[in-house]
Amino acid sequence: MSLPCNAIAVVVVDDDASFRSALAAILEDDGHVVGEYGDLKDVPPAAMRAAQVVVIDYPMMASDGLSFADSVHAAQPQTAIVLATAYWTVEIEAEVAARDFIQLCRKPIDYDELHALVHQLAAGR
Amino acid sequence: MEEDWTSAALRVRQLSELRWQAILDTARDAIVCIDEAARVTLFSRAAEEIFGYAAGEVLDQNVRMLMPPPYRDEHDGYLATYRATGERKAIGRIRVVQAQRKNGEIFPAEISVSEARMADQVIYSAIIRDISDRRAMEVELEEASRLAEQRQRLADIGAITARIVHDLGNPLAGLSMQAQLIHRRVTRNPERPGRDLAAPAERIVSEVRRLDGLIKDFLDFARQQRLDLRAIALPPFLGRLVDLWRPVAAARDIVLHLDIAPDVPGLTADEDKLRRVLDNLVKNAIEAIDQGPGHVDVLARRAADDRVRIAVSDTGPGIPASVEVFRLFETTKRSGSGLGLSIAKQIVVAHGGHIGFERLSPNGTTFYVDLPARVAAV
Repeated sequence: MSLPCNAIAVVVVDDDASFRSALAAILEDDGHVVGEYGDLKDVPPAAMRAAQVVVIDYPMMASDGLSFADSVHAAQPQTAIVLATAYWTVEIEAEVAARDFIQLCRKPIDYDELHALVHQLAAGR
Repeated sequence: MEEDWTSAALRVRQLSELRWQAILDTARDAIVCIDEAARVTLFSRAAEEIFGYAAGEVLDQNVRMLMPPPYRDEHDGYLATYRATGERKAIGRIRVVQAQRKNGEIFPAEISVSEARMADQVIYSAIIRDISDRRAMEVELEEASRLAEQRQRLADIGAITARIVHDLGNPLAGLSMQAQLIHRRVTRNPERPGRDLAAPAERIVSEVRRLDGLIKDFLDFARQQRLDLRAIALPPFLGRLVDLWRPVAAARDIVLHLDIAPDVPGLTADEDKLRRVLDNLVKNAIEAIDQGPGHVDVLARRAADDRVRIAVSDTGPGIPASVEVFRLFETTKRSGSGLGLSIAKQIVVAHGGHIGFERLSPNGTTFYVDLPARVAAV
């Protein structure tokens, strides 16, 4: 995939259409390439492979905990994962803390902070 | 000869008295007799134990000394009324009354009074059972069930709170992101925002509307169900319901069918609330099928015990065995609040009815509501 020099490939997976579409629109306004999906199973493998950063809501992968993140990390360690969630438990926090490739981001999210995080993650990989 | 007869009669009488005394002495319930002027003429051993008076302290006294105020002052009046009108309040029934012991303690007692007339004399006898132990147990039971109810309520509130955090957190994040999108587009190009602001603004409005609906659901659940009962004729009522949902169903290639048996009686129900219950069932049925072809049948039938059954069946995939559909926040829908059927159940129960469901073979579900054809005024 050929991108403008500062463009980052981001995949947003969230069942909240409002959050997902707005985040995608702002990222696109900023020149990034965004794929937005309401469900993990809707993400085409090619899009996932191209993603530098995946922004995902926790309940999206709640059925098997963080195994999705683990499998993505195993297959493509260059991809960073941002867990954007409105609700989590101590258990989830502990699971996330044990994985340095996941960033926890609490909703509601300040776009500028998320944008900075996405840049930093994309640059670091 | 005559003397023999007299002594024999005396013996019989003595025997009879002994027998009575034995009964009076061993009976666990207090036996108290009074005459027409309410003077105590008999005070059994159990009466002594229960009331704490020796028989000698009570005999010939007005029986009202065994009662706490205000009954103490009303008893003579009762007797006078009975003598004058023959209107029975106490005689021939078992009643629970308040009685008072010598030490002043008031206790609940079961009392049955009978009346015996001999020549011009009247004897009222009362059998009195001290039920303070039983009452204490009942009170304890009531208290335990009240506590259990309170705990359930607290658990519900806890679940509601967790749910609010969860259900409002995500939409708030969406609203915030939509607002940030608008803000960025406006500040980036203040003269002519140009880029589409209408879409995010519309999303904000519709999201706020959805949240408002959620809050109303919470309020409805928290509120006690007060019913505004009116007579409802089922054919027009169900006809309007089905007409409203038909386009929604048609858009998903689902046929919505209404079938009302001709002998279905009318209902006395709160129309708005019943409408809500049925809206919920029809909406769930359509959402269960999701995308047709399929059909949803709304049926009204006369049921046993003078009840009316309204059933909504769908040809959807059915409800997983693990799901307790009427439990608060239980939902199989990704964006469902899990409140709909909890509220529906509250409403139906408030009508003295029953809501339930059956799994259909090979697939599909029927939800039904059984309501009394006539609901007594609440």
